[in-house]
Amino acid sequence: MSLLGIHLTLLVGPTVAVPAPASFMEALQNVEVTHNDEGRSGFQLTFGVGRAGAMDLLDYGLVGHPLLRPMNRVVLLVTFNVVPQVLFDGIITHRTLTPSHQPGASTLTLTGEDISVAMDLEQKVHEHPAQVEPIIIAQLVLSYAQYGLVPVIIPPPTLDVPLPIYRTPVFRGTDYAYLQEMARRYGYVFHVTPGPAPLMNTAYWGPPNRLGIPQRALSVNLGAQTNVDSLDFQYDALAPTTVKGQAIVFGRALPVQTFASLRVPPLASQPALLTQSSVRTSLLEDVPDGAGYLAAFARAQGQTDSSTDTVLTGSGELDATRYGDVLRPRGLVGVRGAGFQHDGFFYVRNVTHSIRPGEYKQRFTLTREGVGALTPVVPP
Amino acid sequence: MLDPTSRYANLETATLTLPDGRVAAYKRRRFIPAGNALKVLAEVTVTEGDRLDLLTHRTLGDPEHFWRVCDANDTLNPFELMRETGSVVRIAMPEF
Repeated sequence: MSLLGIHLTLLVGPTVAVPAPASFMEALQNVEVTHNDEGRSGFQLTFGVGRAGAMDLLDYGLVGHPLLRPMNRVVLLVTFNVVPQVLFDGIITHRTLTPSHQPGASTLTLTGEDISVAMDLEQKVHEHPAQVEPIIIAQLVLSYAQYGLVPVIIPPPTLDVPLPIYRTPVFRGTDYAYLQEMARRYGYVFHVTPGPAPLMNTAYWGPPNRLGIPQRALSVNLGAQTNVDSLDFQYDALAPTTVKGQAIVFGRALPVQTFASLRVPPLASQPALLTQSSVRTSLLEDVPDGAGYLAAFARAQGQTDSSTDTVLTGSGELDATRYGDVLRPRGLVGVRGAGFQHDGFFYVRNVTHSIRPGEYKQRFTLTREGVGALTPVVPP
Repeated sequence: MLDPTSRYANLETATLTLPDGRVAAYKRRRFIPAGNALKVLAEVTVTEGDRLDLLTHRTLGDPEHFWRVCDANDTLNPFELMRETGSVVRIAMPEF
């Protein structure tokens, strides 16, 4: 049946995106989408433009089209075997026109970022007396309901209520910067994931999500089962860091020390912090006096947790037609065929999709806290 | 913890506090869409010895989406769907 295979759908428009006219899809040459675990994700659409006929007397075709204006919403859907999935939901922020003297080589490039760019437009003074992070985050996220943002908040292990008679935390900056700053405090991440339905988004604030069912395994060097074009692993012995220091609690100094990563579930049988002969130690950053011992400890633990995220990094490229699905970041994936030390489950940190007519490639980065698989078998 | 191809994957997860204080998570109830309101992708005639998973693989590309075929034909029991040779099975356009 002709509908089987991979298809791309482009929805574009001001505030509510509508399916793009056929002329857009004919001119679309290249789509690049990057999903990141921390920070913002981005997209780039390259259209071929030209001047032909009376309609293009004034300007290159598509350039003046009202649907492609900056700050418009762009939604990309990919359909694998008739079942649609949302690939991206974002806002156009940059536009590049490259006129060329070669016929047919002029291009219009639209670049944009995900919906969280709307949270980064206005600087404010954030003052939330006697409120803990999950409540502040829910308030901030729910004020962007017009983008279909649904908050998913995982509360940190320790919460301490700032007593207004001692201190009121104040942050100057955009909502987005404040959400990132609060996440950094605990070694957490904040990101906006498109889907599950078009024009809907999930705002996730919490530890890197290692729960859930692992995605289809990445197989290397397995003959006909191979679905990865290239894959390499780097081990960084300088990344794992323990934190040592003192927390001043109402004028009294108490020691703070971290030993291991508390990311759950663990993914490596030989985590670098426990098996490496020596690891780096850093000093605890300044914690405001009166924030409490638990808050100081949570901050030290967060620093250690995020340092172990970059110990073992795998990067590579795959062909989506061979893999048969969209590899999603912010989740788990299995690797097989790379030997005991580098097999097993990994956390997918970022994925870049590069789509052009007849070709769909995905470049990915995987991370984990050390070498050694935890399971004897990785399901395909 | 559901597979992305599951019919329950996109449903909202709700929590309930049990009388003894434990918190139980559960999926909200799924309402079956009206089959004739869905857009028709194809109509397939059942042949001798054909199976629902094979038919789904041929038309939708993945046998695990058999529940989409059941939805389109207002069938609650998947075993009834392919029982009669010569009957017409409606395949609907998948939705989110």
